Amino acid sequence: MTSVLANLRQDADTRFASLGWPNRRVEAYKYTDLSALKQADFGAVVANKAHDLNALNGIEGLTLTTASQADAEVQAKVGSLLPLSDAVAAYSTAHMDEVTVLHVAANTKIEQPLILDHHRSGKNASFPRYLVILERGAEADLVERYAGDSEGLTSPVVEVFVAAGAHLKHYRALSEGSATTHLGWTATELDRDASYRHVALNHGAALARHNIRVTLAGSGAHVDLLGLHLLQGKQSCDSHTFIKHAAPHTTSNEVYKSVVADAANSIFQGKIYVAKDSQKIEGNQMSRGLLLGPRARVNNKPELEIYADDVICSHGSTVGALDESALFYLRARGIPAAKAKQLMVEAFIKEVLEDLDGVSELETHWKPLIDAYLSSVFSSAPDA
Amino acid sequence: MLSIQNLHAQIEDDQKMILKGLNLEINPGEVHAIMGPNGAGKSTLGNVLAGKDGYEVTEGSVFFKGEDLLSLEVEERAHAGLFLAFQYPVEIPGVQMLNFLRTCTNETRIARGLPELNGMEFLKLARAKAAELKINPDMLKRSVNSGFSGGEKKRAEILQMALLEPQFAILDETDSGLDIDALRIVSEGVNALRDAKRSFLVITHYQRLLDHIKPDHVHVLADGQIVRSGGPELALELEERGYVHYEKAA
Ligand SMILES: Nc1ncnc2c1ncn2[C@@H]1O[C@H](COP(=O)(O)OP(=O)(O)O)[C@@H](O)[C@H]1O
Ligand SMILES: [Mg+2]
Repeated sequence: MTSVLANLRQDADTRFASLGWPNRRVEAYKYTDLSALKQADFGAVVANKAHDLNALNGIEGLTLTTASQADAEVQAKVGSLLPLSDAVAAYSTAHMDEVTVLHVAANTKIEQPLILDHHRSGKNASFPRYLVILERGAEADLVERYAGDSEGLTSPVVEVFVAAGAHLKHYRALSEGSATTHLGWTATELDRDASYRHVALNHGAALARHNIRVTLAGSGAHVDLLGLHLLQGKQSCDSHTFIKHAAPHTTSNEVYKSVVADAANSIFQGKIYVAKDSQKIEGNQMSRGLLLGPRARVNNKPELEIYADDVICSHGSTVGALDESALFYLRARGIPAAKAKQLMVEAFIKEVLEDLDGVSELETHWKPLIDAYLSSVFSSAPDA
Repeated sequence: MLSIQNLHAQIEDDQKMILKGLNLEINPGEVHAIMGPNGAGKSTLGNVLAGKDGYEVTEGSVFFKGEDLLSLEVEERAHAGLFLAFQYPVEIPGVQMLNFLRTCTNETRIARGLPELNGMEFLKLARAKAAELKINPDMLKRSVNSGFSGGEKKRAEILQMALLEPQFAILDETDSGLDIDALRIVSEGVNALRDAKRSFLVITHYQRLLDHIKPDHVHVLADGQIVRSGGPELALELEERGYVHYEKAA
């Protein structure tokens, strides 16, 4: 590890030592108390790399390297989007090993998705760390997957730089087992006229926290943040998003939907921040929760923080159970209750996925996860 | 076919009694019309027969083809051959009409021991039935009842009935909100299904529907009971004299 990275790690370690695991009194962790992690034993730290990284070798326009091997300019980017004031960011950074760098050359369109596939098992802790750079006018799809039945901790950090006129679509699926703790970070910066679409499926882990921070740093930049929580059992999942309109003429669109069965707990906290001189902004956010049982919980907390005046921002949030009259209507047409509920839940989540027909990652990888969730929820709890 | 005896039903929430000893016998092939003032309990009767939550039957019985209807789940009643065309069809955003129609048709076919229809077979069938009802095929791509006009919703109800081929159909004010042309199309859709084994209970406010769908029997429902029964001439009389008399009685 180079001294730049070693210093960053040392810094983060010092920060975390003073922060500690946050309890509910820390505003950002109001609904997700991590203080119990003080006592947690995640086992040894294990290698942080995705499986099959080699498959990325030889893709035209992509340079696959590590931060240690990269030049100083690239090294300086590591950690630069990540606020170490956040305990999870500090903890993960304090444990980072090597940083895998995916560097897409200017004006290159990479057709095949760049897949970061993590399949973990055993009682151990892993801190996958990536730096993704799209140079001017580049285009790529990034796929991140976390699966397996680890009883430990997965705490990945992905930092993304999308240069002027570049476009990145990023699909992140969390389907780890019911004993895993997942504490993740995604931090992205967009330059002029760049676009970024982040689509998240949060379906696994006992306790999950995913922080997303997107900075719209150049005029004309656009971000879509789309997220799904499909939870059951005693799962708790918190998506904490922050969109910073740091330049004028930037737009954001955010839709998060949670389907919550059993005694699971879904949290969405989403802030849209508009800086003082960022005029002509449009930011829309919607969060909806669907409760499938009396013990299920949803906490949605939208927030706007606006310091400019020529701004169109909206946010909406709803939480409710399935519409009884719609359910009766479907059943009165001969559709069994469980199937009727399934149709309605599918309709509910479609808003997040509707533009994504034909995205192969969704068809091959997400759809089976979603189907498995629906059938497990509706076969084991017929009158939920 | 359907035998309702001394049916008492109340609203679960406030225990308000709505049906207060209703009796009705419907034989195979018969068309019965129920008319009556607003709030008499006509829709409540349809909802109780279809099995909607929120009502409590406190007394009486309902037998459908010899089976205790009230002990069946909502979907089981549909499979047994009962159909309710809703007074207010429910909008279900995100559930595509075609997918919904195919699911309910196939679920019903499975329950009745018939083979499922595949996508192509079903599409052909649905298009043909929709055309008979002058339903724009684009409607099949939209969400269930979402943004449909009043007339479109009612025609969609009849389309569902045509696909599910029930033995007993309740039409709850299917004529309301229809113009004369739509009324004729809907009535033709109903008449096309009339046969010696199929029965209908037509709930309406207006005699004009009964010009198109000729009933065998007409009943007046007021304050939760059938207070008068007769032939088609009763509908004409009601048209002339209104329900004032029955509202007072209520
Ligand atoms: N779900 C319900 N909750 C409360 N009151 C109801 C409900 N359904 C019907 N009612 C009441 O029952 C009475 C009969 O209603 P309804 O059956 O709709 O009458 P109709 O169809 O004959 O106009 C009305 O007073 C109505 O307000
Ligand atoms: Mg009514």
